[in-house]
Amino acid sequence: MSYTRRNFVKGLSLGAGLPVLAPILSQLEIQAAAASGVAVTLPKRFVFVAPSSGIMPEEVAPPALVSTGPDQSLNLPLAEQKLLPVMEPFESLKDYLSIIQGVSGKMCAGGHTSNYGALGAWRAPGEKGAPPPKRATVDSMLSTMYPAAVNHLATALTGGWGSRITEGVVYPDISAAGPQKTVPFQASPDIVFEQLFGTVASQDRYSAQKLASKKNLLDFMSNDVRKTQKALPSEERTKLDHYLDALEGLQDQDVKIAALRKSLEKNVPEFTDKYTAEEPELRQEAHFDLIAAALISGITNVVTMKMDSSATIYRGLGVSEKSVHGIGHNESSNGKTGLECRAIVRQHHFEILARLANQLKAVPEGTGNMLDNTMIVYISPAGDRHHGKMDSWPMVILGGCGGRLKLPGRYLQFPGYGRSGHKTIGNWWTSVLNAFGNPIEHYGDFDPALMKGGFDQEGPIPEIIA
Amino acid sequence: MSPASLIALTSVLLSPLAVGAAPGSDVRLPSVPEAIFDSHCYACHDEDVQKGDVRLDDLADLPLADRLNLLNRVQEQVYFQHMPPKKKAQPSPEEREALFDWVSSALDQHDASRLKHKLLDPHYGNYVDHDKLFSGEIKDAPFSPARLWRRNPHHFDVAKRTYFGVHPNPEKTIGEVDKLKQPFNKGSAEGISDFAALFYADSATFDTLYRNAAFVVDRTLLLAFIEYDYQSRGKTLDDWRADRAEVLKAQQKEIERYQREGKTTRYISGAHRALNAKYTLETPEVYRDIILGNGEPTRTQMEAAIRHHFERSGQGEPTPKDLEKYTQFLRDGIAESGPYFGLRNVLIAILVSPDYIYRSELGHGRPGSEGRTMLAPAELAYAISYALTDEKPDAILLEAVRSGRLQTRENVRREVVRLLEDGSIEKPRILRFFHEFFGYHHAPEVFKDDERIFGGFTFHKIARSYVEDTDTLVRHLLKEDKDVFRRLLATEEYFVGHNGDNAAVRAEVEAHQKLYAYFKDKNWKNYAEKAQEKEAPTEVDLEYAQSLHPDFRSTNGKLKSGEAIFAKMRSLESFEKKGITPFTYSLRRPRDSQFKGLLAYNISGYDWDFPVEQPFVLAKGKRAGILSHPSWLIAHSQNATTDPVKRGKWIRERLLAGTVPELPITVDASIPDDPHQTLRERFAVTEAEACWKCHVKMNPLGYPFEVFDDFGRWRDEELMEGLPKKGKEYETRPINSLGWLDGTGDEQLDGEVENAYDMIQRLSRSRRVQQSFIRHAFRYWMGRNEFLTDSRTLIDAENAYIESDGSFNAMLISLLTSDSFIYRKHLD
Repeated sequence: MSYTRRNFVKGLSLGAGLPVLAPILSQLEIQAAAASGVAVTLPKRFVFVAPSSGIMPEEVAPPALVSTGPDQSLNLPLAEQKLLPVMEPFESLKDYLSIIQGVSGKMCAGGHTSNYGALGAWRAPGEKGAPPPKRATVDSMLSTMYPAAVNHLATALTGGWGSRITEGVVYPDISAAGPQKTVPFQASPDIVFEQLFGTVASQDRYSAQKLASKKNLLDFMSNDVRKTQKALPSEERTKLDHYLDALEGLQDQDVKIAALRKSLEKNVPEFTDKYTAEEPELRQEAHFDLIAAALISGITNVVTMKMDSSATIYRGLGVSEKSVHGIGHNESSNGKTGLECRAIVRQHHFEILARLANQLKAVPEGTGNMLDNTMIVYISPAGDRHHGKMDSWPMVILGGCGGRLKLPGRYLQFPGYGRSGHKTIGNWWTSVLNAFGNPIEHYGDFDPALMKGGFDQEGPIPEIIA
Repeated sequence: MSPASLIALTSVLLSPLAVGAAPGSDVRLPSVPEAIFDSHCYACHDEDVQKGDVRLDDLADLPLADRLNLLNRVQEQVYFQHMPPKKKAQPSPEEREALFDWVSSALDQHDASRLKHKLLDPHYGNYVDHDKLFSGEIKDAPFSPARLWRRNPHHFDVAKRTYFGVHPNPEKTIGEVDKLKQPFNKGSAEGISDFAALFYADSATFDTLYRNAAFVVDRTLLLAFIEYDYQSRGKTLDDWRADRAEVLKAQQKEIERYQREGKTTRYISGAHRALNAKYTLETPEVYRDIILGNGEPTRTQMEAAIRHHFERSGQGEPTPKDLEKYTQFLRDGIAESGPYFGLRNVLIAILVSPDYIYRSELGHGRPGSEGRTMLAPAELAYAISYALTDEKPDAILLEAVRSGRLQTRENVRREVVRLLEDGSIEKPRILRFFHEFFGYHHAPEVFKDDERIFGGFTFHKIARSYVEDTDTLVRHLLKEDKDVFRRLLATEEYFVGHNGDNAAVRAEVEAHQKLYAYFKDKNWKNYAEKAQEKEAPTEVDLEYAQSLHPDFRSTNGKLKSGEAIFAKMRSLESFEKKGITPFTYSLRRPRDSQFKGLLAYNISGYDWDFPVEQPFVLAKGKRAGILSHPSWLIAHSQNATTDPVKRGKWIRERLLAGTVPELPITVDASIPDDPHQTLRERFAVTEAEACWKCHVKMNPLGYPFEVFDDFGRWRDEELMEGLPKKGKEYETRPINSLGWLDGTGDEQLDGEVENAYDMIQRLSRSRRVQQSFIRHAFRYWMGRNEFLTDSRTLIDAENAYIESDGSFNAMLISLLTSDSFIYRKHLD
């Protein structure tokens, strides 16, 4: 499918009164367009979900395949495989499920966390926060390729590796908008609600005037900041650059959100106690309700969610004695081994992912549904275990990936580290970017050890691109 | 590397943060570094040999990203002197410096130096050479970079209360305050972290600030807005009152319905109260005049409104420039969208402006030597006030600014001393330094399974009382202000369940004893609610009881009934029967949690003869100073075990001003979960050669603390909690607390240590430890890592400390009157 400007405009005209500025066609318009045979490009959506303790290869591999050993290369349909009990929530989504094993990430810091490494493929060590980012991470790059009112929705249960902060703005250092620009995450579901649905959830008869005066305010502030900046030393000027970026981003965002009003009204989730709950399990649910509503309403196409931290304690799941860190070290808790506890937490995460996938699946889009055009990636900044060694970076993926990748329904295992045909996380993200239209030759740092052996580690993995 | 060149090296790196980029477009290897590479690097890193997979001879041919990556690695190796390896021939200091300069300029052409950013981070503060800092050979004039310093979460907490007029009474709160969200993130959870260079306001900060501002402004203007709104619809305030009456009537009906249905009405009336609360906030006249006045407001009216808002939001006085700017914005706003929205916008703008977010320390004052300028009087007033409090400058400071009496170092000293000496001024920043330095206040955040010793009492509440005990000791030592650092580490004196005020505690204990004496021969057991022969005390009895102590009259502890007397008497009886002094904390809150909490001090609460006079020696020869307090030990422990690595790392970094490398990429640092071994035995995995080269810096300093369990209880034996109990008890294994102290720079102190007590005593006598305290205080009060050029400030601070027999205040006054505090320099 491709779209021409004429088709695009025609699609727009189907919805009377739909603002021309709307970057996205609402679901209704897309349906109508598809029904009338008009070609439209359906938006692609991405959700990156980052749990804190690593994902061990055997924690997600179908049991029958664990014994094949990491060195063997596999590409098998999952339909034939019996899944692990923790993957039970994905039973009905098997066609949309893919499991990736064997892409290495030794150019990234391993250990408790690689921070930006998972989505950026560079070395960014530090449990108390990473050094400033060196480039945009993949989620941010995709968000500029598929812009929306909120280009990149970044939400989090907590801040970084061992963070106990679960309110307000946090900096988990896993996502970057560009060099030196870490992406702030919002940890309070009630604030995310306000930000996304505030314009429609409040029935203020002066809201239009407020929006107009906010525009004046932002203009005034921008001018004022520019004047102030002139008197500052260069390092300090940068601080105000961030501020200017913020003002300009908001100016842009408000206009786009206003244009989405109808779709937002239709999809605003019900505001419940969950949004201000303290229990991590409930807060995660609240975040995912918002993520689903945000994707369905078209207010964003790219989401990154920091799922938990090493300090999170899943009391609600009956793992109350040890934190994620404790069970990561295989300390037992509540009479269960660390591994058993990890399985409980993992299954809880998978239930949340499955719920999101099913919500998207229920929304028709084009000739299929929204899940067809979505890629949900579950990947841990810690890599392949609680202290990642990064020989392999296991990932669980849900969604049809817009038909751009030959992944749905497959179990993929790449040849082991350093063997012929082995792939790195850099090759992986290069493939994803290429598949969705960014022709970048290679994304990510090279693995110096592989480089030495003359190992070709540049470029995408052609066999996974549709 | 010789001392002199290291100074040159670090001052190149640390003082001018932006090293000038060399002219010329691309990175080429000039001849000088080529020769150095040739003689010191290529032997291991060239076409033929690539140790550690590093090849340097083709640097110039690499793609830019890889080249910068490799250069970054080289820069760190050269700076930290990790390369060439110790056993190889070392480059001369000049060579090393030349190499460093070259790498730095190559990286700075692309603003790509990772080291430069790292060294701004508090965790890298110790990489500045300690011996050089205190050697006295550096003669540079100290300064801080001209900078903006973002406000911190504490400033916000004060400001939000100020705005709603409930400051400074923290008890009094209105629900509205809690609707404001914290816009300023705090950096790292541990250690000193409020560094000016690290924090900036980004889109998330702005977004939160904007929401907060809109909320408070809308609330403040609400009543005037309603009038404006009704007028604009051709109605009057009477119409609004009628509408409100309808709402109130509906609320009343709802309550009645609840009553009819037999439901509790407490929550629904609470909800109504919250809904109605916003209508009780009067809109100040200065705003009403503008919103409801006829025509364009006068300049005076506009300025009055702006001034009022500055004052109310805790920003002090607007400058003439502020007034000019905001009146213009107000005029434009009114012209475009009417008086209400015009004013609303100006008030919001003030609360989200860079001036509100950042404290300016640009050095607008008098010029000084070596390209420095002093902070201007207004900048100084804020710097001084925020050094000690979370508040804007007080009236005296502002008056000093106005009258030109805040322009010299002596002026600064006068104000710092005044604030320190005035007991009525709260100075939360001082205690907070000890929190951030020691980290003991994190104890309640460490998750402990309550059942393990406390039998079901909520651990984090108990842990808070440990933090209070340590706070009391810190306050006590600061009050005495002698030999502070040594005593923080080594005093055997403790406060346990005591607020530090002996007279007050004595009065409280005596009141309890009098109460017991008065009632003991009466039939107080019959005052119990479920007594068989129920009796009640007389009015005279109750009046007497309440007269004994203010607490007995206060809402929470009021002895208002026979039941209340009974509860007190029953607790007191258990003490009296044993002939011991009652532990008053437990009496005030007659729950067992305080007794259980004493277990961490190895005190059995029910049998404890409470020492009324404190501090007291708790465990001679076993416990000394904060590092033996349950608060510190818990804060530096795991959920279910001690943590020798964390404790050792803390001592290496905070007390010995040393460094520990980051966890390397290849490490799988899991400790085997063998229930038959002690924790120390399980830690043997860290003694493998590859691990030990880093762990040797931590474990030997952490092992001596194995004499305490993870709750801070002294022990000789470790409980094998992973094994089934034998009978009622766990099996035990002897602990091994031997450790090794190195890095004090003092042969008398370094060497094998027997246990924590032994090590702490040695540390407390170390000059280096004293200096490390001062370095950390410097970071806290200057909001940055020290440069080598701060040498004079640090030496002066230490001298002030020594000459005053260890006065913390003297040290602090020295820091706050130093050139590093009052001078600024533009670094580009």
